[in-house]
Amino acid sequence: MEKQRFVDKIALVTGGANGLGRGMVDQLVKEGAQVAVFDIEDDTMEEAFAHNDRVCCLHCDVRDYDQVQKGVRDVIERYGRIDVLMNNAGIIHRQGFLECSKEGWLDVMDTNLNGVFYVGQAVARTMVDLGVEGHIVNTCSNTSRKTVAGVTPYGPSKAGVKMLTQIMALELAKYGIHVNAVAPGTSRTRIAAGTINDPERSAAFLAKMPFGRYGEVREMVSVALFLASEDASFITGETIYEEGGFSLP
Amino acid sequence: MARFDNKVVLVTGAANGIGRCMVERFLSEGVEGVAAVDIECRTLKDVFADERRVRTIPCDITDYNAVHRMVDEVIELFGRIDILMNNAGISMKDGERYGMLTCPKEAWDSVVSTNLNGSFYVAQAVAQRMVKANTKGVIVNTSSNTFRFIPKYLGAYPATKAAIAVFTKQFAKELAEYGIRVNAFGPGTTLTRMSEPTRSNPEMNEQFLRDIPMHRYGEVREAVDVALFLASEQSSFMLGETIFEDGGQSL
Repeated sequence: MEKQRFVDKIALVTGGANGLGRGMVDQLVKEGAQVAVFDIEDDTMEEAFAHNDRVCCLHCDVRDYDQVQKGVRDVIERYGRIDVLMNNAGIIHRQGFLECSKEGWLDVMDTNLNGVFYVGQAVARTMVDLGVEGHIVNTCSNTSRKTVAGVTPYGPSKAGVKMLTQIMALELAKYGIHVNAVAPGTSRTRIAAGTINDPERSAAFLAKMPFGRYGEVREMVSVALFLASEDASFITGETIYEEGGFSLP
Repeated sequence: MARFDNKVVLVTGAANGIGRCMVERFLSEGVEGVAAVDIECRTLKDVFADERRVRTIPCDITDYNAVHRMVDEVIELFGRIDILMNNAGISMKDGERYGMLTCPKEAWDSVVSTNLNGSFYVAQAVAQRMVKANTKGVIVNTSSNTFRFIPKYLGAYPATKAAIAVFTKQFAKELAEYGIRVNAFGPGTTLTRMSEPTRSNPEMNEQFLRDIPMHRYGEVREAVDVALFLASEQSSFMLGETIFEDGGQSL
């Protein structure tokens, strides 16, 4: 089939050079969108999209408030508006609670929570100013509800994203802006490579998965793009988990 | 290729509202056959009289034996069931408002018996046959946002819909090993006959619209969009979830 759900839409994807973000960019382009990508990995980003005239790569560190303002201004200058924001950039820090360093904690909070706020606010302001009834999809994680040891700041940062999603939805509804989040479980991406590539850890992990497998990037992208589409026109403030039942009680 | 090519679907509560729209949408997206089930099928039969892919089957889902007979009949007609839209449900009778202090036993029991017991009977009967036939099927239960956003005087309705969200997780966890996916969707106030009493009461209407951040009711189409997303391969890694679609009403 491949419905063309994003024809003539302008999308911005943060963290678009790798993994889930890259999957989103590819699928958005396939379905007709013009896509601006924010990432700090310039080489990966260029390599991924250099030959794609429907993608525009911008170096932007979402931890940096001023860079975000400039990045969003650049996108508006180039395309005139932003219809869809995939607020996706995120990192993980693998340290347990007792040993977790201050730098590790702050880096995760800066990227995963502050970055989502900076980009979300900057883009939402353009939507309000330009009268765009847009869709914002934040990338959350199943660690926002499932307690996972050894990645101390990650779950709290994503739990913050979940509540921020609700607040954004509540305050932006009157402008016709939808805000939701997608909360993936462990998907086949670089962020999960540590688990996937260690046979012992992987076996132990998969034993706890009702489906006995990891999620595919396309499966997460499919939920994220559903939330960005007109099929989700009465959904706002929700976090949709797609994690193969990992956190089922 | 459409999303539901070669699929056989069973929809309960198919005569009206969300259920009826599900049947129409499945037909437009390629299904092989739809069993449209409701307690009363006369109108339904007329609506789909020219559609050979639809078979209407009357069934009272509160009757355990009748549910098993109905599911067997569907299997006989279509050979299997790939997708169950476990949708039949009732609200408190005649739009009567039932407070927890005064709700009569009969009114409570009747809602529990349809929404909770009936939905369980159907899900179990279909799941048993999916497992037996090794069908890697999908089950979508109809829940509601009323158990997060607790409106007053709805009697047993919110409690039964909360229970559906919970048994969705139970079924999901136990059926995963057979490759069967189970999820639910929780619509808010939708433009259906069921919400008529709320919408036609000026005071409640005003209050509801004020409390919904999107300041409108949901269209039937919007509820069905979510339900069909869950029935499709688009949600292939989702298990045991309830997607609420309520314009932000329960924020």
